[in-house]
Amino acid sequence: MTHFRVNSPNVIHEIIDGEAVLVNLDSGSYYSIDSVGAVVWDYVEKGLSRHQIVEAIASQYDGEQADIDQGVQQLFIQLQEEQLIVPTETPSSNRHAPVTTPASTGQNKPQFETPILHKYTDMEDLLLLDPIHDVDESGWPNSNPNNVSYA
Amino acid sequence: MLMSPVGPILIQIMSRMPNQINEADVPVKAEAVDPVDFFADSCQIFQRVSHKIGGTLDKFYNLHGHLIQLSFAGPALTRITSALEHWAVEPNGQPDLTIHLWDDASTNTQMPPPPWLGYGVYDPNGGMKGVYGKRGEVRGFNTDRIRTAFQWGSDVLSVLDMEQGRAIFWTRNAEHLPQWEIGSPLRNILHWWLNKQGMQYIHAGAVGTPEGGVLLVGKGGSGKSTTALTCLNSDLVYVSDDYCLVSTDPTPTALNLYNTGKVREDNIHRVPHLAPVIHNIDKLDQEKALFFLNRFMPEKLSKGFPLKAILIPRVTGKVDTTLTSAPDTAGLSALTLSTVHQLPGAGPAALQIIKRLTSQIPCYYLELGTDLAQIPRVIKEMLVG
Repeated sequence: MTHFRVNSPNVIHEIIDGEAVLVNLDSGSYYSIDSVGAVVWDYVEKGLSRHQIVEAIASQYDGEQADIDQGVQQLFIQLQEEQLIVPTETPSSNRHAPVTTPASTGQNKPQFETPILHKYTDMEDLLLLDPIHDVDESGWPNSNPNNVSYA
Repeated sequence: MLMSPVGPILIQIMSRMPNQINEADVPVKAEAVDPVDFFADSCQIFQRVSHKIGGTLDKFYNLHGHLIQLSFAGPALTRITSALEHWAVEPNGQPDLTIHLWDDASTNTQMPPPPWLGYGVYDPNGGMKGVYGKRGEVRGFNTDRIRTAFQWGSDVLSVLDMEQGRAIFWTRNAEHLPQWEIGSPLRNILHWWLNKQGMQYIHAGAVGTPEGGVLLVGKGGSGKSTTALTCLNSDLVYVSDDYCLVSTDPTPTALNLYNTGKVREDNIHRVPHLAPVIHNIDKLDQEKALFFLNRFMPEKLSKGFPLKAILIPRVTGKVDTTLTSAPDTAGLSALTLSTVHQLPGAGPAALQIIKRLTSQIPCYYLELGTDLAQIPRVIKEMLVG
Protein backbone atom coordinates (compact mmCIF):
# COMPACT_ATOMS: atom_id res chain seq x y z
CA MET A 1 0.00 0.00 0.00
CA THR A 2 1.68 3.23 -1.15
CA HIS A 3 1.87 6.05 1.33
CA PHE A 4 3.10 9.55 0.76
CA ARG A 5 3.90 12.35 3.14
CA VAL A 6 4.09 16.07 2.73
CA ASN A 7 7.65 17.04 1.85
CA SER A 8 8.17 18.98 5.06
CA PRO A 9 10.00 21.11 6.04
CA ASN A 10 10.58 22.21 2.45
CA VAL A 11 6.86 22.52 1.86
CA ILE A 12 4.51 24.61 3.96
CA HIS A 13 0.80 24.29 3.50
CA GLU A 14 -2.59 25.12 4.88
CA ILE A 15 -6.20 24.67 3.87
CA ILE A 16 -7.86 28.06 3.88
CA ASP A 17 -11.51 28.49 2.89
CA GLY A 18 -11.55 25.09 1.19
CA GLU A 19 -8.44 25.78 -0.84
CA ALA A 20 -5.11 24.08 -0.17
CA VAL A 21 -2.37 26.72 -0.39
CA LEU A 22 1.12 25.24 -0.74
CA VAL A 23 4.54 26.86 -0.89
CA ASN A 24 7.75 25.07 -1.88
CA LEU A 25 10.34 27.00 0.09
CA ASP A 26 13.22 25.66 -2.00
CA SER A 27 11.86 26.82 -5.34
CA GLY A 28 9.72 29.72 -4.10
CA SER A 29 6.81 28.38 -6.14
CA TYR A 30 3.25 28.73 -4.90
CA TYR A 31 0.50 26.21 -5.56
CA SER A 32 -3.19 25.92 -4.95
CA ILE A 33 -5.68 23.09 -5.19
CA ASP A 34 -9.39 23.73 -4.93
CA SER A 35 -12.36 21.54 -4.13
CA VAL A 36 -11.72 17.78 -4.40
CA GLY A 37 -7.99 18.37 -4.61
CA ALA A 38 -7.98 20.15 -1.26
CA VAL A 39 -9.74 17.16 0.28
CA VAL A 40 -7.13 14.83 -1.22
CA TRP A 41 -4.38 17.01 0.19
CA ASP A 42 -6.00 16.88 3.61
CA TYR A 43 -5.97 13.07 3.45
CA VAL A 44 -2.33 13.00 2.36
CA GLU A 45 -1.50 15.19 5.33
CA LYS A 46 -3.41 12.76 7.58
CA GLY A 47 -1.24 9.89 6.31
CA LEU A 48 -3.75 7.90 4.24
CA SER A 49 -2.47 5.75 1.41
CA ARG A 50 -3.38 6.54 -2.20
CA HIS A 51 -5.75 3.58 -2.21
CA GLN A 52 -7.46 4.75 0.97
CA ILE A 53 -7.80 8.25 -0.44
CA VAL A 54 -9.44 6.97 -3.63
CA GLU A 55 -11.89 4.99 -1.52
CA ALA A 56 -12.66 7.98 0.68
CA ILE A 57 -13.20 10.29 -2.28
CA ALA A 58 -15.42 7.71 -4.00
CA SER A 59 -17.57 7.53 -0.90
CA GLN A 60 -17.90 11.30 -0.67
CA TYR A 61 -18.37 12.31 -4.30
CA ASP A 62 -20.64 11.28 -7.12
CA GLY A 63 -18.63 10.04 -10.08
CA GLU A 64 -17.34 7.05 -12.03
CA GLN A 65 -14.84 4.98 -10.05
CA ALA A 66 -12.43 5.00 -12.98
CA ASP A 67 -12.56 8.79 -13.24
CA ILE A 68 -11.92 9.18 -9.52
CA ASP A 69 -9.05 6.69 -9.61
CA GLN A 70 -7.46 8.41 -12.59
CA GLY A 71 -8.04 11.93 -11.23
CA VAL A 72 -6.45 11.16 -7.87
CA GLN A 73 -3.60 9.28 -9.52
CA GLN A 74 -2.88 12.20 -11.83
CA LEU A 75 -2.83 14.62 -8.90
CA PHE A 76 -0.38 12.38 -7.04
CA ILE A 77 1.90 12.37 -10.08
CA GLN A 78 1.82 16.16 -10.23
CA LEU A 79 2.43 16.53 -6.49
CA GLN A 80 5.41 14.21 -6.74
CA GLU A 81 6.81 15.96 -9.79
CA GLU A 82 6.69 19.26 -7.93
CA GLN A 83 8.28 17.58 -4.88
CA LEU A 84 5.35 18.56 -2.73
CA ILE A 85 4.94 14.97 -1.53
CA VAL A 86 7.41 12.12 -1.21
CA PRO A 87 6.87 8.36 -0.84
CA THR A 88 7.16 6.88 2.60
CA GLU A 89 7.17 3.26 3.76
CA THR A 90 4.68 3.66 6.55
CA PRO A 91 2.69 6.61 7.80
CA SER A 92 3.26 7.78 11.33
CA SER A 93 0.42 6.40 13.38
CA ASN A 94 -0.50 9.64 15.11
CA ARG A 95 -1.11 11.35 11.78
CA HIS A 96 -3.50 8.69 10.56
CA ALA A 97 -6.69 10.31 11.77
CA PRO A 98 -10.09 8.85 11.01
CA VAL A 99 -11.57 10.09 7.79
CA THR A 100 -14.70 12.16 8.12
CA THR A 101 -17.10 11.78 5.27
CA PRO A 102 -19.81 14.39 5.76
CA ALA A 103 -21.24 13.87 2.28
CA SER A 104 -20.80 10.12 2.11
CA THR A 105 -24.42 9.15 2.39
CA GLY A 106 -27.67 10.23 0.88
CA GLN A 107 -28.54 11.57 -2.53
CA ASN A 108 -26.73 14.88 -2.33
CA LYS A 109 -23.13 13.90 -2.92
CA PRO A 110 -21.22 16.66 -4.69
CA GLN A 111 -20.09 15.86 -8.21
CA PHE A 112 -16.50 14.65 -8.51
CA GLU A 113 -14.35 17.10 -10.45
CA THR A 114 -10.87 16.20 -11.58
CA PRO A 115 -8.48 17.92 -9.15
CA ILE A 116 -5.98 20.30 -10.73
CA LEU A 117 -2.75 21.53 -9.19
CA HIS A 118 -2.25 25.17 -10.08
CA LYS A 119 1.32 26.44 -10.02
CA TYR A 120 2.39 30.07 -9.80
CA THR A 121 5.98 30.97 -10.30
CA ASP A 122 5.92 34.74 -10.61
CA MET A 123 3.74 37.77 -10.16
CA GLU A 124 1.89 37.39 -13.41
CA ASP A 125 1.17 33.74 -12.72
CA LEU A 126 -0.24 34.38 -9.27
CA LEU A 127 -3.69 34.12 -10.71
CA LEU A 128 -6.01 31.58 -9.31
CA LEU A 129 -9.20 30.14 -10.66
CA ASP A 130 -11.88 32.58 -11.62
CA PRO A 131 -14.51 33.21 -9.04
CA ILE A 132 -18.01 33.05 -10.39
CA HIS A 133 -19.15 36.57 -11.02
CA ASP A 134 -21.82 38.55 -12.76
CA VAL A 135 -21.19 41.65 -14.80
CA ASP A 136 -23.92 44.24 -14.91
CA GLU A 137 -24.76 46.62 -17.75
CA SER A 138 -21.90 48.91 -16.72
CA GLY A 139 -19.46 46.16 -17.66
CA TRP A 140 -18.04 45.78 -14.12
CA PRO A 141 -18.43 42.73 -11.89
CA ASN A 142 -21.17 42.91 -9.33
CA SER A 143 -20.20 40.81 -6.32
CA ASN A 144 -21.25 43.21 -3.54
CA PRO A 145 -24.83 42.43 -2.54
CA ASN A 146 -25.32 46.09 -1.66
CA ASN A 147 -24.65 47.19 -5.19
CA VAL A 148 -27.71 47.50 -7.36
CA SER A 149 -27.25 46.98 -11.06
CA TYR A 150 -27.60 49.96 -13.28
CA ALA A 151 -30.84 50.20 -15.20
CA MET B 1 -9.69 52.62 -25.01
CA LEU B 2 -6.19 53.07 -26.33
CA MET B 3 -4.61 49.99 -27.84
CA SER B 4 -0.92 49.29 -28.01
CA PRO B 5 1.12 46.55 -29.64
CA VAL B 6 3.24 46.17 -26.49
CA GLY B 7 0.52 45.13 -24.08
CA PRO B 8 -0.54 41.66 -22.96
CA ILE B 9 -2.57 39.52 -25.26
CA LEU B 10 -6.21 39.27 -24.41
CA ILE B 11 -8.47 36.98 -26.31
CA GLN B 12 -11.87 38.27 -27.25
CA ILE B 13 -14.67 35.83 -26.59
CA MET B 14 -17.30 35.34 -29.25
CA SER B 15 -21.06 35.25 -29.01
CA ARG B 16 -21.89 35.84 -25.43
CA MET B 17 -23.43 38.49 -23.26
CA PRO B 18 -21.02 40.23 -20.90
CA ASN B 19 -22.49 38.71 -17.77
CA GLN B 20 -20.45 35.55 -17.53
CA ILE B 21 -16.97 34.42 -18.48
CA ASN B 22 -17.35 31.01 -20.03
CA GLU B 23 -14.15 29.09 -20.52
CA ALA B 24 -15.76 27.04 -23.26
CA ASP B 25 -16.22 30.10 -25.45
CA VAL B 26 -14.11 30.24 -28.54
CA PRO B 27 -11.34 32.81 -28.83
CA VAL B 28 -11.68 34.68 -32.11
CA LYS B 29 -9.59 37.78 -31.90
CA ALA B 30 -6.39 38.89 -30.25
CA GLU B 31 -5.66 42.49 -29.33
CA ALA B 32 -3.03 44.07 -27.18
CA VAL B 33 -4.18 46.38 -24.40
CA ASP B 34 -1.44 48.33 -22.72
CA PRO B 35 -1.88 48.54 -18.92
CA VAL B 36 -0.07 51.89 -18.95
CA ASP B 37 -2.63 53.27 -21.37
CA PHE B 38 -5.42 51.86 -19.26
CA PHE B 39 -4.05 53.62 -16.20
CA ALA B 40 -3.66 56.91 -18.09
CA ASP B 41 -7.25 56.65 -19.31
CA SER B 42 -8.45 56.00 -15.75
CA CYS B 43 -6.63 59.09 -14.49
CA GLN B 44 -8.28 61.15 -17.22
CA ILE B 45 -11.66 59.84 -16.12
CA PHE B 46 -10.88 60.97 -12.58
CA GLN B 47 -9.93 64.42 -13.87
CA ARG B 48 -13.22 64.71 -15.75
CA VAL B 49 -15.24 63.55 -12.74
CA SER B 50 -13.50 65.93 -10.34
CA HIS B 51 -13.86 68.82 -12.82
CA LYS B 52 -17.56 68.07 -13.15
CA ILE B 53 -18.17 68.31 -9.43
CA GLY B 54 -15.98 71.38 -8.93
CA GLY B 55 -12.57 70.10 -7.87
CA THR B 56 -10.96 67.70 -5.45
CA LEU B 57 -10.86 67.28 -1.71
CA ASP B 58 -7.31 66.45 -0.68
CA LYS B 59 -5.94 64.84 2.47
CA PHE B 60 -2.31 64.14 3.32
CA TYR B 61 -0.71 61.47 5.49
CA ASN B 62 2.87 60.93 6.59
CA LEU B 63 3.15 57.16 6.77
CA HIS B 64 6.53 56.15 8.19
CA GLY B 65 8.25 59.02 6.41
CA HIS B 66 6.35 58.73 3.14
CA LEU B 67 3.94 61.52 2.17
CA ILE B 68 0.73 60.10 0.76
CA GLN B 69 -1.97 62.24 -0.84
CA LEU B 70 -5.55 61.06 -1.06
CA SER B 71 -7.35 63.15 -3.68
CA PHE B 72 -11.12 62.69 -3.57
CA ALA B 73 -13.67 63.68 -6.20
CA GLY B 74 -16.31 64.63 -3.64
CA PRO B 75 -16.63 63.79 0.04
CA ALA B 76 -18.39 60.43 -0.16
CA LEU B 77 -15.28 58.25 0.00
CA THR B 78 -13.58 60.26 2.74
CA ARG B 79 -15.29 57.84 5.11
CA ILE B 80 -12.46 55.41 4.46
CA THR B 81 -9.88 57.76 5.98
CA SER B 82 -10.84 57.28 9.63
CA ALA B 83 -8.51 54.30 9.96
CA LEU B 84 -5.60 56.46 8.79
CA GLU B 85 -6.36 59.71 10.61
CA HIS B 86 -3.53 59.25 13.09
CA TRP B 87 -1.10 59.73 10.18
CA ALA B 88 -2.76 62.96 8.93
CA VAL B 89 -0.53 65.99 8.26
CA GLU B 90 -0.83 69.36 6.57
CA PRO B 91 0.30 69.45 2.93
CA ASN B 92 4.08 69.76 2.98
CA GLY B 93 5.77 69.01 -0.29
CA GLN B 94 5.58 66.63 -3.19
CA PRO B 95 3.70 63.42 -2.32
CA ASP B 96 5.50 60.12 -2.76
CA LEU B 97 2.17 58.50 -3.60
CA THR B 98 -1.04 60.11 -4.85
CA ILE B 99 -4.27 58.13 -4.87
CA HIS B 100 -7.29 59.39 -6.81
CA LEU B 101 -10.57 58.23 -5.32
CA TRP B 102 -14.12 58.49 -6.57
CA ASP B 103 -17.41 56.67 -6.81
CA ASP B 104 -20.11 56.81 -9.43
CA ALA B 105 -23.12 57.23 -7.16
CA SER B 106 -22.16 60.41 -5.32
CA THR B 107 -20.68 62.08 -8.41
CA ASN B 108 -23.55 61.05 -10.66
CA THR B 109 -21.13 59.65 -13.21
CA GLN B 110 -20.58 56.22 -14.70
CA MET B 111 -17.26 54.48 -15.07
CA PRO B 112 -16.79 53.21 -18.65
CA PRO B 113 -16.65 49.43 -19.08
CA PRO B 114 -13.22 47.92 -18.45
CA PRO B 115 -11.08 47.33 -21.54
CA TRP B 116 -10.93 43.63 -20.69
CA LEU B 117 -14.70 43.21 -20.88
CA GLY B 118 -15.42 40.30 -23.20
CA TYR B 119 -11.86 38.99 -23.15
CA GLY B 120 -10.11 35.97 -21.71
CA VAL B 121 -6.47 35.04 -21.38
CA TYR B 122 -4.50 31.90 -22.00
CA ASP B 123 -3.94 29.91 -18.84
CA PRO B 124 -0.42 28.61 -18.07
CA ASN B 125 -1.98 25.21 -17.34
CA GLY B 126 -3.63 25.12 -20.73
CA GLY B 127 -6.94 26.36 -22.09
CA MET B 128 -8.34 29.79 -21.53
CA LYS B 129 -9.47 31.59 -18.40
CA GLY B 130 -11.47 34.67 -17.59
CA VAL B 131 -9.68 37.88 -16.77
CA TYR B 132 -10.36 38.03 -13.03
CA GLY B 133 -8.32 36.06 -10.51
CA LYS B 134 -9.56 34.73 -7.21
CA ARG B 135 -7.98 37.46 -5.14
CA GLY B 136 -9.15 40.07 -7.63
CA GLU B 137 -6.08 40.23 -9.86
CA VAL B 138 -6.90 41.36 -13.38
CA ARG B 139 -5.00 39.04 -15.67
CA GLY B 140 -2.89 40.83 -18.24
CA PHE B 141 -2.93 44.07 -16.25
CA ASN B 142 -0.26 43.25 -13.69
CA THR B 143 3.25 44.13 -14.77
CA ASP B 144 6.39 45.36 -13.04
CA ARG B 145 5.00 48.86 -13.41
CA ILE B 146 1.20 48.53 -13.22
CA ARG B 147 -0.82 46.61 -10.61
CA THR B 148 -4.54 46.07 -11.11
CA ALA B 149 -7.11 44.31 -8.94
CA PHE B 150 -10.87 44.29 -8.52
CA GLN B 151 -11.67 43.50 -4.91
CA TRP B 152 -14.43 40.92 -4.64
CA GLY B 153 -17.16 41.71 -2.17
CA SER B 154 -16.42 45.40 -1.98
CA ASP B 155 -16.31 45.90 -5.75
CA VAL B 156 -13.37 48.28 -5.62
CA LEU B 157 -11.05 48.78 -8.57
CA SER B 158 -7.46 49.50 -7.50
CA VAL B 159 -4.77 50.37 -10.01
CA LEU B 160 -1.24 51.52 -9.15
CA ASP B 161 1.42 52.94 -11.42
CA MET B 162 4.65 52.15 -9.55
CA GLU B 163 6.70 54.43 -11.78
CA GLN B 164 4.58 57.53 -11.26
CA GLY B 165 3.67 56.83 -7.64
CA ARG B 166 0.05 57.33 -8.60
CA ALA B 167 -3.01 55.17 -8.11
CA ILE B 168 -6.77 55.09 -8.58
CA PHE B 169 -9.43 53.72 -6.24
CA TRP B 170 -12.90 53.50 -7.74
CA THR B 171 -16.16 51.92 -6.67
CA ARG B 172 -19.78 52.21 -7.73
CA ASN B 173 -21.19 53.54 -4.48
CA ALA B 174 -19.17 54.70 -1.49
CA GLU B 175 -22.14 54.06 0.79
CA HIS B 176 -22.02 50.36 -0.07
CA LEU B 177 -18.42 49.74 0.95
CA PRO B 178 -18.29 46.87 3.42
CA GLN B 179 -16.88 47.27 6.89
CA TRP B 180 -13.48 45.83 6.04
CA GLU B 181 -12.86 48.65 3.55
CA ILE B 182 -13.50 51.11 6.39
CA GLY B 183 -11.36 49.27 8.95
CA SER B 184 -8.50 48.38 6.59
CA PRO B 185 -8.78 50.78 3.65
CA LEU B 186 -6.67 50.87 0.48
CA ARG B 187 -5.33 47.41 1.21
CA ASN B 188 -4.22 46.49 -2.30
CA ILE B 189 -2.65 49.81 -3.23
CA LEU B 190 -0.77 50.12 0.06
CA HIS B 191 0.34 46.49 -0.10
CA TRP B 192 1.79 46.95 -3.59
CA TRP B 193 3.38 50.33 -3.00
CA LEU B 194 4.77 49.82 0.49
CA ASN B 195 6.48 46.61 -0.65
CA LYS B 196 8.65 48.77 -2.90
CA GLN B 197 9.52 50.93 0.10
CA GLY B 198 10.80 47.90 2.02
CA MET B 199 7.69 47.36 4.12
CA GLN B 200 5.66 44.18 3.73
CA TYR B 201 1.93 44.34 4.32
CA ILE B 202 1.08 41.23 6.31
CA HIS B 203 -1.90 39.53 7.89
CA ALA B 204 -0.91 39.62 11.56
CA GLY B 205 -1.54 41.33 14.85
CA ALA B 206 1.22 42.98 16.85
CA VAL B 207 1.43 44.02 20.52
CA GLY B 208 4.31 44.77 22.87
CA THR B 209 6.26 47.44 24.66
CA PRO B 210 8.08 50.38 23.05
CA GLU B 211 11.29 48.36 23.43
CA GLY B 212 10.00 45.24 21.73
CA GLY B 213 6.93 43.26 20.80
CA VAL B 214 5.49 40.18 19.17
CA LEU B 215 3.67 39.30 15.99
CA LEU B 216 0.44 37.35 16.34
CA VAL B 217 -0.03 35.15 13.31
CA GLY B 218 -2.59 32.67 12.04
CA LYS B 219 -5.60 32.51 9.81
CA GLY B 220 -8.87 34.25 10.56
CA GLY B 221 -10.55 32.96 13.71
CA SER B 222 -7.32 31.73 15.27
CA GLY B 223 -7.43 34.22 18.13
CA LYS B 224 -5.22 37.03 16.79
CA SER B 225 -7.75 39.83 17.24
CA THR B 226 -8.98 38.73 20.63
CA THR B 227 -5.41 38.43 21.88
CA ALA B 228 -4.39 41.85 20.54
CA LEU B 229 -7.50 43.61 21.80
CA THR B 230 -7.24 41.94 25.20
CA CYS B 231 -3.79 43.50 25.52
CA LEU B 232 -5.37 46.98 25.26
CA ASN B 233 -6.52 46.38 28.82
CA SER B 234 -2.91 46.13 30.04
CA ASP B 235 0.24 48.20 29.89
CA LEU B 236 1.19 46.75 26.51
CA VAL B 237 0.93 48.93 23.41
CA TYR B 238 -0.84 48.03 20.18
CA VAL B 239 0.19 48.03 16.54
CA SER B 240 -2.57 45.92 15.00
CA ASP B 241 -4.99 43.07 15.43
CA ASP B 242 -5.21 42.03 11.79
CA TYR B 243 -3.04 43.87 9.27
CA CYS B 244 0.26 45.59 9.84
CA LEU B 245 3.60 46.17 8.15
CA VAL B 246 6.91 44.51 8.82
CA SER B 247 10.40 45.51 7.87
CA THR B 248 13.58 43.49 8.22
CA ASP B 249 16.09 46.21 7.40
CA PRO B 250 18.12 46.50 9.51
CA THR B 251 16.27 44.44 12.13
CA PRO B 252 12.81 42.86 12.35
CA THR B 253 10.28 45.59 13.09
CA ALA B 254 6.49 45.73 13.26
CA LEU B 255 4.98 48.94 11.93
CA ASN B 256 1.48 50.26 12.46
CA LEU B 257 -0.77 51.11 9.55
CA TYR B 258 -4.38 51.41 10.75
CA ASN B 259 -5.74 52.68 14.06
CA THR B 260 -8.55 50.13 14.09
CA GLY B 261 -9.48 46.96 15.88
CA LYS B 262 -12.18 44.46 14.95
CA VAL B 263 -13.88 41.63 16.76
CA ARG B 264 -16.79 39.32 16.01
CA GLU B 265 -19.99 40.10 17.84
CA ASP B 266 -19.87 36.81 19.76
CA ASN B 267 -16.43 37.74 21.08
CA ILE B 268 -17.27 41.23 22.33
CA HIS B 269 -17.78 39.86 25.82
CA ARG B 270 -14.10 38.90 25.85
CA VAL B 271 -13.07 42.56 25.41
CA PRO B 272 -15.60 44.40 27.59
CA HIS B 273 -13.25 47.39 27.92
CA LEU B 274 -14.01 48.14 24.26
CA ALA B 275 -17.77 47.70 24.33
CA PRO B 276 -18.47 51.40 25.01
CA VAL B 277 -16.49 52.53 21.95
CA ILE B 278 -17.89 50.27 19.22
CA HIS B 279 -18.23 52.38 16.08
CA ASN B 280 -20.88 50.34 14.28
CA ILE B 281 -23.10 49.25 17.15
CA ASP B 282 -26.18 49.30 14.87
CA LYS B 283 -24.70 46.85 12.33
CA LEU B 284 -23.35 44.07 14.49
CA ASP B 285 -25.82 41.61 13.01
CA GLN B 286 -24.08 42.08 9.65
CA GLU B 287 -20.44 42.83 10.40
CA LYS B 288 -17.67 42.71 13.02
CA ALA B 289 -17.53 45.32 15.75
CA LEU B 290 -15.13 48.08 14.69
CA PHE B 291 -13.10 50.38 16.96
CA PHE B 292 -11.11 53.50 16.08
CA LEU B 293 -8.50 53.32 18.80
CA ASN B 294 -6.89 56.71 18.20
CA ARG B 295 -10.14 58.34 19.28
CA PHE B 296 -10.44 56.58 22.61
CA MET B 297 -7.03 55.32 23.65
CA PRO B 298 -4.41 57.05 21.47
CA GLU B 299 -1.75 56.38 24.09
CA LYS B 300 -2.11 52.65 23.34
CA LEU B 301 -1.46 53.05 19.66
CA SER B 302 2.19 52.44 18.79
CA LYS B 303 3.77 53.41 15.47
CA GLY B 304 5.97 50.35 15.76
CA PHE B 305 8.51 48.41 17.76
CA PRO B 306 11.34 45.93 17.26
CA LEU B 307 10.08 42.38 16.96
CA LYS B 308 11.27 39.85 19.54
CA ALA B 309 9.13 36.81 18.72
CA ILE B 310 6.32 35.37 16.65
CA LEU B 311 3.36 33.96 18.54
CA ILE B 312 0.80 31.59 17.08
CA PRO B 313 -2.36 31.75 19.22
CA ARG B 314 -4.15 28.46 19.89
CA VAL B 315 -7.39 28.20 21.85
CA THR B 316 -6.96 25.45 24.46
CA GLY B 317 -10.06 25.60 26.64
CA LYS B 318 -7.81 25.47 29.72
CA VAL B 319 -7.75 28.24 32.31
CA ASP B 320 -4.11 29.30 32.08
CA THR B 321 -2.26 30.85 29.18
CA THR B 322 1.19 29.46 28.44
CA LEU B 323 3.91 29.61 25.82
CA THR B 324 5.43 26.56 24.16
CA SER B 325 8.20 26.41 21.59
CA ALA B 326 7.11 26.08 17.99
CA PRO B 327 9.08 24.69 15.05
CA ASP B 328 10.97 27.19 12.94
CA THR B 329 8.62 26.66 10.04
CA ALA B 330 5.42 27.18 12.03
CA GLY B 331 5.61 30.97 12.02
CA LEU B 332 6.78 31.04 8.43
CA SER B 333 3.93 28.81 7.40
CA ALA B 334 1.21 30.67 9.28
CA LEU B 335 2.38 34.10 8.19
CA THR B 336 3.11 33.24 4.57
CA LEU B 337 0.02 31.25 3.84
CA SER B 338 -2.50 33.65 5.33
CA THR B 339 -0.80 36.64 3.70
CA VAL B 340 -0.50 35.00 0.29
CA HIS B 341 -4.08 33.85 0.47
CA GLN B 342 -5.44 37.34 0.97
CA LEU B 343 -3.33 39.77 -1.00
CA PRO B 344 -3.22 40.02 -4.78
CA GLY B 345 0.34 39.82 -5.99
CA ALA B 346 1.76 38.71 -2.65
CA GLY B 347 4.35 36.44 -4.19
CA PRO B 348 8.03 35.62 -3.96
CA ALA B 349 9.01 39.11 -2.77
CA ALA B 350 6.70 38.76 0.20
CA LEU B 351 8.06 35.29 0.86
CA GLN B 352 11.63 36.59 0.99
CA ILE B 353 10.80 39.25 3.58
CA ILE B 354 8.80 36.79 5.67
CA LYS B 355 11.59 34.19 5.48
CA ARG B 356 14.14 36.75 6.67
CA LEU B 357 11.82 37.80 9.46
CA THR B 358 11.08 34.30 10.70
CA SER B 359 14.73 33.27 10.56
CA GLN B 360 15.74 36.07 12.89
CA ILE B 361 13.29 35.72 15.77
CA PRO B 362 11.93 32.73 17.70
CA CYS B 363 8.43 31.34 17.33
CA TYR B 364 6.10 30.11 20.07
CA TYR B 365 2.60 28.77 20.37
CA LEU B 366 0.53 31.05 22.59
CA GLU B 367 -1.73 28.52 24.29
CA LEU B 368 -4.69 30.73 25.08
CA GLY B 369 -6.46 30.11 28.37
CA THR B 370 -9.89 31.23 29.44
CA ASP B 371 -8.50 33.63 32.06
CA LEU B 372 -7.92 36.41 29.54
CA ALA B 373 -6.11 38.66 32.03
CA GLN B 374 -3.19 36.24 31.87
CA ILE B 375 -2.61 36.80 28.16
CA PRO B 376 -0.89 40.22 28.31
CA ARG B 377 1.01 39.13 31.43
CA VAL B 378 2.43 36.06 29.68
CA ILE B 379 3.42 38.13 26.65
CA LYS B 380 5.07 40.81 28.74
CA GLU B 381 6.95 38.29 30.88
CA MET B 382 8.32 36.74 27.72
CA LEU B 383 9.36 40.16 26.39
CA VAL B 384 11.05 41.46 29.51
CA GLY B 385 12.27 38.15 30.87
